[in-house]
Amino acid sequence: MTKKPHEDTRLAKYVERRVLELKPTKSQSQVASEAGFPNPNMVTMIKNGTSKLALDRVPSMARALQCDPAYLMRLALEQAIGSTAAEAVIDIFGDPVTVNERSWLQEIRQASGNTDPRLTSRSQSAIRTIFGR
Amino acid sequence: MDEQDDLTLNERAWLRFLREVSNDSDPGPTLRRVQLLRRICEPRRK
Repeated sequence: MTKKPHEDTRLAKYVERRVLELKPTKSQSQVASEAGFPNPNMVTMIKNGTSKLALDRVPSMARALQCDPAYLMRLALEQAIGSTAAEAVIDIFGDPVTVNERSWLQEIRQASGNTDPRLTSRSQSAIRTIFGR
Repeated sequence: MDEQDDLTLNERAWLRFLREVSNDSDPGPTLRRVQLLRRICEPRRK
């Protein structure tokens, strides 16, 4: 039986989803080639969890998958060392903030007139409503 | 907002919460969401 040690990681699921979403415009072989993998099967191996995504491959893979590199790095770090260790690394070296997250923070700054609003329980409930949770 | 260090403690709390409620799916700020967000963040009027 083939071992798939990274099958249940968020990165494997995310890569699978992005490859599927890009399918109308880009083949999986193209993704592999753009990410710099000499072996086109590498993307399949990442998708099914046989292989993990090496951290040094994150920038080119993010370009190939047309996704946010900071987001992919968070997932790759979690896959590489586990979520608890990844949290420790992020605590010390800083949290990779995505372009979307920066946009959210800019909106918060703008909407609050740069008053640095606290996340109150009222705002938490409202945010849950925004996301239908 | 180029540097991580630019974020205040409150902003980090917002970021953590946004990740939590979105299942860390990195959602974009759509027009509807931004309009709702503005309502939440607007400074209280006297």
